[in-house]
Amino acid sequence: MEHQGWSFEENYSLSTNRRSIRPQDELVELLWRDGQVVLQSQTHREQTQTQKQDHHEEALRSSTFLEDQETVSWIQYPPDEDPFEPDDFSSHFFSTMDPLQRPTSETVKPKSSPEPPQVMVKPKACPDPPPQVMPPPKFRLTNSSSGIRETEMEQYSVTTVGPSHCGSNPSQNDLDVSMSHDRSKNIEEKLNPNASSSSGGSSGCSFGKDIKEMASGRCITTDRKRKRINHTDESVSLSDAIGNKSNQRSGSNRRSRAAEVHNLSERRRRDRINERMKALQELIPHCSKTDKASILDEAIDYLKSLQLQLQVMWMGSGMAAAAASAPMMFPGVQPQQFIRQIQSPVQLPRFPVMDQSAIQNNPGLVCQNPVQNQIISDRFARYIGGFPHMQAATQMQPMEMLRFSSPAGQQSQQPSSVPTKTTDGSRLDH
Amino acid sequence: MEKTLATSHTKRSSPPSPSSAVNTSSTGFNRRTRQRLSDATASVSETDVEDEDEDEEGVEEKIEALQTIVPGGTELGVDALFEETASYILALQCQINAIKVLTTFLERCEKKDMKFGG
Repeated sequence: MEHQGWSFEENYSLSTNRRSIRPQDELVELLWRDGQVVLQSQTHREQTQTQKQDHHEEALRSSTFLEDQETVSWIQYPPDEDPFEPDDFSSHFFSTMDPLQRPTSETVKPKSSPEPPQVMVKPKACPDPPPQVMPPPKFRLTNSSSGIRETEMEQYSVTTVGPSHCGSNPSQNDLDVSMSHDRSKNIEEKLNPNASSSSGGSSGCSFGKDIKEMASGRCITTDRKRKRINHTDESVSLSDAIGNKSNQRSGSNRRSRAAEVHNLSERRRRDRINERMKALQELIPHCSKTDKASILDEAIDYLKSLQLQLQVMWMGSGMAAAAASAPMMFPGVQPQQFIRQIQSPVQLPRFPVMDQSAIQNNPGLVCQNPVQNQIISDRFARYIGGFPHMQAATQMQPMEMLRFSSPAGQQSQQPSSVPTKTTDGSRLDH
Repeated sequence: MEKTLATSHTKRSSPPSPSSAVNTSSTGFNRRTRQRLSDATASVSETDVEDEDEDEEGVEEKIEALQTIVPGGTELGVDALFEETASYILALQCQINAIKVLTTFLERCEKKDMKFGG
């Protein structure tokens, strides 16, 4: 069967080539000849036996006949039932046996053709397993991911539980750990509210007591007066505890909260005091000590020295102002009167000195010498307004440092004013 | 000072705990007063406690001195007192600088006046 098919295909290719070469007249002859051949089939067989050339002609004719029948069968009778009908038809038209044998070969060929589609159906079944296989691994992956998440949650819970246990013990001894303890309480509340409530209450009691003791000690160190206030606070806390004995949980929570607030307020106060102490240390020159007592001592000494310098400067400024104002007020007076008037300003600075020493305030100068004070205030305002004067003031600071360091400088200030008077006297005498 | 304060806190924290645990507030208060009286009489002598008390007394004395020097310091607390001292120091420094500038200027004016007058 298969062999016949292959041969047929080869013949088909050859026949197509020949037809393209031959004209239409040959086709007509072939048809006519076919009719003759059909009618004279026995004669052709006898001739073939006798001659070799007839064999080639018979082969060609047989190929053409097969082709025509195949086309007819495909178009008119594709199913299996057809071979019976064409047989009857051929019997009516053709009396010979040869056409009966040939259609049988034709029927076999169409059977082979449907086989490839059946083969195609099989590979269709092949792709079915891959889609079936895909969903199971997806589900497995999801399961594995959920498992991983569960393990992560377990690890998180374990880590949270650990620091709470570790932090609870040292918190009783040190306040620094209290922060971690508070954090651990929060974590416990988030995870297990029931367990956290009981543990939080018990730990809160001990923690509150420790905090109160520490707070009381620190307050005592700062001031004695505040000790009384602390005692009153303690009595109040004790009364609260007695009243709340029935509700230990609520009482313990309140105590812990109050203790925390108190600790925070005290910490803030200490921080402020420390900051102010540092500021004072920076202001005071040549102060390298860190103790509170030493810093306070140096601050007190520095304040006293500054006050003394101010007094000396006010005295000097008063004398200078008086001396300067005298010639301005009396420019055109005779020499004798000028000398007398010079003596009078010598007496003037004594009065402000006495006032300063007695009251140690400025109003004395204002009462006796309003004009001079006004002049000084006006000039002072001008200097403050001017920018370059500020620079001069900044430059003067190192001089202040030198004077503070050397007490001799202060003494030199006083004699410096005296020689000016002597010079004035000598010039006037000349 | 922080270390010494910490040690003082730890030492002081131990005595009151047994009193509070054993007896009520009233009895605890009485015992505390008794302890103070005993300390005052000097029947019980402890070098560490005495040293701490001396340091605290020194600090308090110095704070009182500052209150007397600074104007309006007696009515202020520790925080405010330190602030006032800092601001007072700055004010004094500014006044001193201003007076120096004025004195130099006035001296120059005197010299000029003498020249014109002479």
